Amino acid sequence: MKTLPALGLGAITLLAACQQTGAIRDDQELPSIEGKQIRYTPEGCDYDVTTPEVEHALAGGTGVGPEPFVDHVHASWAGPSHSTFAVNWRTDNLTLGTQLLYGTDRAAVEAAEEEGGSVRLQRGHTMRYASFIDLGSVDREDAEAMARVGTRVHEAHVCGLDPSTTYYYKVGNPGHWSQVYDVSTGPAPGTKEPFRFAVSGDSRNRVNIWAAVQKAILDAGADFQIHSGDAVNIGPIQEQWDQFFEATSGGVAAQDVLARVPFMMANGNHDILAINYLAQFAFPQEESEGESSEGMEWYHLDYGNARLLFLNDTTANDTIITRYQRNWLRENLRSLDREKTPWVFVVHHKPTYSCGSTHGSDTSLRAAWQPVFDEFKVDVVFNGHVHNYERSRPIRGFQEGSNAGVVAASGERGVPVLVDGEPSGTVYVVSAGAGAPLYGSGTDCYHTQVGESVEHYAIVDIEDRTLWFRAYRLNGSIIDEFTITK
Amino acid sequence: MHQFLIGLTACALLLPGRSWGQPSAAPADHQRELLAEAEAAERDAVPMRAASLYRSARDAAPTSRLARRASSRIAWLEARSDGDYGPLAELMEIQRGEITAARMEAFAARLETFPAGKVRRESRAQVASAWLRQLDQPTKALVAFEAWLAEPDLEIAERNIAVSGAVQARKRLGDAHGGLELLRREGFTAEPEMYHLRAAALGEVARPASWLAIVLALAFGLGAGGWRGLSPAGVRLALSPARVVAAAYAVLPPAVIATAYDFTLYPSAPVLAGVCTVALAFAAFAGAGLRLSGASSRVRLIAAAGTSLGALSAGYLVADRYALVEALFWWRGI
Repeated sequence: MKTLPALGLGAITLLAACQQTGAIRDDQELPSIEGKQIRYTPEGCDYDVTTPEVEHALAGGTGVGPEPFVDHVHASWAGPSHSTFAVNWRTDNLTLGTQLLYGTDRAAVEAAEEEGGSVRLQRGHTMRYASFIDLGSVDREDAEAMARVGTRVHEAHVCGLDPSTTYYYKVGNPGHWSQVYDVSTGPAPGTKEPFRFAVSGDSRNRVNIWAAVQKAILDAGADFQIHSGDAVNIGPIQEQWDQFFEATSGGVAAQDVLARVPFMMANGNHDILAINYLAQFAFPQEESEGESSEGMEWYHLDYGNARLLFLNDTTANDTIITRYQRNWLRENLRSLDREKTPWVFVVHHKPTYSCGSTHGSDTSLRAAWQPVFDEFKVDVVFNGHVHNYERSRPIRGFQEGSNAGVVAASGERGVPVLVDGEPSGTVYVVSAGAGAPLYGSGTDCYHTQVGESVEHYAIVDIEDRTLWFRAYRLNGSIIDEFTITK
Repeated sequence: MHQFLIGLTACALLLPGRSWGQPSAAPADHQRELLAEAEAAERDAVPMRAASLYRSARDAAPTSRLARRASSRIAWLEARSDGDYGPLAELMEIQRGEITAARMEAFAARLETFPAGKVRRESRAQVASAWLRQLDQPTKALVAFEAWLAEPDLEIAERNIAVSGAVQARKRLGDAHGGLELLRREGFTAEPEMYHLRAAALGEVARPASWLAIVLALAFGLGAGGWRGLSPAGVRLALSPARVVAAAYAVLPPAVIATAYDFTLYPSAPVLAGVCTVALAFAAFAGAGLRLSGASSRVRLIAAAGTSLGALSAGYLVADRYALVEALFWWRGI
């Protein structure tokens, strides 16, 4: 008789302790929230998600349509890279269920239809959106037609993960899953672990080139990738986004790479913050003064010992550039511990230093942002827009009485040297050769070190305080390479 | 009591914790070393050794983030293992070494012995790209791109890049028609390059013809007495308020509207407006001069037609300079 209470107490303790450790979890119940715009906290995450205003948004929905499909699966980060990942995907318009199964055992995830064992379930939200181009062809009085117009996408956020760990996942609903993909979380913040990211930009309309770039990025084993804007030719045309995801090279579709190599991008003058862009991607939403798009217009991502800041230079008015983003940039970098996060990169679309034959340098943008880059010693600025490859010499400060930059001290291959323990200048890289029609390049500008009009991508390796940069043509040969050691 | 302790102990043993496969420190360090060695082997163009090291790195901590990088490299290398990695090693040597004409000639001959497949195609891409971009030899580049295009099992992206390179080579050789023919032959008729080449091919004829038309218009207009338009009487005739207003209306609003509608039309729209203004002014002064000279109506008609043609020619030259002609071709799908 004395045994039973002891066993009961032991069982209760066992259960309570195991719940605290996460061994047993309550069934997830994401309350159903519905509207044209919704905001909620994904289960297990410590950040909120706010959808853009769309035709229909629903969190906690269930059910699949009569002809369900899942495609355009792609991963990104809306929260910390070391403990989360986000996934977006498309389905037919009538599928409302949004589920993601994940775990570290591939076979278990493949076999699972629901949460259990080592496989966990995360629910998310769905959105049906339509650009003004989609809506233009529909009779607004026809409720049935309006209820079907547009594209339906889904989004799930997974949090509470271990750093530097590979997770396997699939998305969809029971009986209608995508294939299983793998994605890795980033290293713990401030780590000295090596990591690798890929750089590309201006994929636009030659989608088979874009697919080849994606294949090359997958082959390179990049941990994540950044894109400097202009993913498609015309942001509000959904068909172009479809081609962006579905383009194939060497038997690999771009979406199969984007599902495994998290994709982070800056808005370009062709993406134009269209609803198609805002609804199809999940980026950090740190809404700040003057910012639109529910905080996705500009944001930062920390990965390992690097901070990447994504800016928007295609704006309705200059104040957004000269005041709001400039202030945000300054405050963001002022609060950054450079001992823990020595590397700072900025990504925005229009280059402030370009010797290209079309567009060239955006000097007003240079005047607005370079002072902040100089003040906080940004290491590399990645741009797009001018469809070629170009790398500048290190730049720091302005020539007196003008907004021409000063070429700082540089070493072999025109890379920054250390001055008082800090790199002598910021390197400006234009990487805009992932599919858009190429522009002529030049190397006779005072600020240009290397330039070539060619389809390409770049790989950046970082280990502790050393950075290796290589830009590759699609045939694998190297256009440019340099190393910075702090 | 001891059952309670058993329960607690069981819980502790069952604790999966939050670690789902994070490697412990020692295997992680070993993995990093192996990865670094593998990457060094790749840089040294020893792909077989690199593949072996990547496998070891992957196996050292299979669920780690870095294992994924190793797996990707293994897959890439193994897909190019034809001839026991021999051809790949040669390609890697070329890619990482100095690009010289002698090395490219030698490598181009060597690659003919490679088995058909990825490595041979990528080798052809390397040779063609080197001739075009680094060695600036478009004729040799064209031959190399054509050889690449003739390879079996070419993927669409490879074909697109090869065609793009071949077209660039033709452009450097001043052969826009050849470039167009190539695009048509390879079925890339919707490529943006197509519209650019059409504009370039048109320009080969239209540019010199436009300059000729401008010169003839100037010569005829001035020679037939138009120079009198610069006399005080001619100026009064030419610059009547009605004419000035009409000219301003014809030129300024379109330029302003175009630039406001599409900021990418700056500076082409204002420049076009400026050129049209000059053409209209010339027409006005020349016309006034011809009237003052007592030129016959036939001469004045011819002068008017010539001036119109000259103005259109000047407009074409501006449009061509700012790539508006190819934009028009793209817009209309011509």
